Amino acid sequence: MIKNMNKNKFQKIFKRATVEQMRVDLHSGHSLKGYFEASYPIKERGLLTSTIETPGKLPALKAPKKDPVSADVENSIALHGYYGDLDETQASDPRLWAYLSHVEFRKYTLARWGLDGHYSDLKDGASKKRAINQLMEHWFVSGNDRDLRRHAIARLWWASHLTYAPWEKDPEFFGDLKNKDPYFYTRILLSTQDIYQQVLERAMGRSSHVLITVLDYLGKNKEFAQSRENVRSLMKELNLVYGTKKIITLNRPALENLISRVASEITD
Amino acid sequence: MRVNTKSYPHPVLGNGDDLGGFFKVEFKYELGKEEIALNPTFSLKNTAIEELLKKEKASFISEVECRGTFFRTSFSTRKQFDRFTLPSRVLRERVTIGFYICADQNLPSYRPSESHPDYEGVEFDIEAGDVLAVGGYCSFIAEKSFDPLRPPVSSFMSIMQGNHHEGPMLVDYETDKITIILSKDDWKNYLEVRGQKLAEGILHASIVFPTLIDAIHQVQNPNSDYEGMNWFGKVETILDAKGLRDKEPFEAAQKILENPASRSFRGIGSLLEVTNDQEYE
Repeated sequence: MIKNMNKNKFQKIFKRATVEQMRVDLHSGHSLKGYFEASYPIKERGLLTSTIETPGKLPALKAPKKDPVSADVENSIALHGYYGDLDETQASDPRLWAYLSHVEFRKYTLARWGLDGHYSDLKDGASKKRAINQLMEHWFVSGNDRDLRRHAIARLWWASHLTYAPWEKDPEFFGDLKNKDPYFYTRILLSTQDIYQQVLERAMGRSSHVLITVLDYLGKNKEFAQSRENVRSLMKELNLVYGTKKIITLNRPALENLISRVASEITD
Repeated sequence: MRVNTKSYPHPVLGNGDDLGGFFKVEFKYELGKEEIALNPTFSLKNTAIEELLKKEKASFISEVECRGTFFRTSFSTRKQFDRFTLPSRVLRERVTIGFYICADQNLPSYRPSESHPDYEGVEFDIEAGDVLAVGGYCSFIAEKSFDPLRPPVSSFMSIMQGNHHEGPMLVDYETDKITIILSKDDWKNYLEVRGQKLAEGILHASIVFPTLIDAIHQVQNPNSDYEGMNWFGKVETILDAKGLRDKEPFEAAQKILENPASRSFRGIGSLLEVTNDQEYE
């Protein structure tokens, strides 16, 4: 008997009109109550089968109540491993991420980025508006990197994608950083919420040269990296420098020197 | 090409009247299925900077950025014409490209030429990466099917049903496309005329036109909250392609929608003719 060994399947996503309607429904508060519920009513006619191939069983994402940030690295690696073949265009598609947060990883999204309490706790218009804004931020993507950074699931995938084995993607620039652990820089990026936010929040974090070299500095200078204020000041100062100096054009030693110099000026 | 004037610690060609001469860039791009090609042509006139390029101490830099895919990179050349390629998969929707001349190495005692009298005879210590000239920036949409000269309204705007039974239409700008939200009653009526040629001009004049005016105001605002949205990039590219960037939003919106008022009157006229014909049949 010949068994079908190919367990791959194609990822479902929402249709564009479905996502637009979901946003309208949430915006008006009509569907707010549903964001306290464990399951999401899916209508087959609102779905599409994408060309994204996925291998078998979905990874289980963890959201420990006491310290949810502590599971970010593990979740990010698991998700990146599962959706390893996604390219950048697919990975910025609002239809994919809305589907994953609302359907496939709903349990995780509710636990990590859901609303506290019960629907009946939202008594006035202001508290409902706050709740809606919070949900819009973590359950939907509008097609820019600010949303991808904040979306419950997209943020995990992108954290790994942007930092995975840079020496493989750009051996000429990052050859000296080769490490046994391909997720070495992912671990630094997600080690604290501050590093993640500060480093990726700035436009220059879109440059892999700048991003990885900053993370390398933070990894080698743990004491510096532990201070929220230090990380914030470093990124702020580098951003100021970027205004007049295209640091993206520097070679690695020059970029490394510049980052060290700016960091020492902060601690001096 | 747009240029934002800035305050630099040294005079920069193209930044206000810091230096005499010019640095101009003509930019063309080709969208392929696998690759996107960027073809800049640089024209430079400034003795000191031309000398630095000749001596391989400075380069033309093209900085490419795509907010939709966390992407930023730069290409360096000393050729007047060059061609750079990127895989299509790394760019989505709006791509911004800025042009500069940057120092490739530290230049102690750099003395700019043709400088503003304020800088006459002054020397500057330039570091590698420092900007010496700005050629401006522009953007394009990395989507083969999008033609900014003939843009369908549906490429940047959509109309949805709201949850209110009656009352005014609402607009949501914080999404992929500008979303116009109609009340349930209006939506029901909209469905009856949607897609009918005679009604298109009327819908454009009554629903799309006022929203587009507001959207153009947002695009022309240098501090708009919606800069990262896909619709923003599309409207911006349409304005640039049609030469409408500096026009009043009221005028620009009419040009993009090809005179919605006239189209609306034609639509109403045709509908009245149909009604009259039916009455006398």
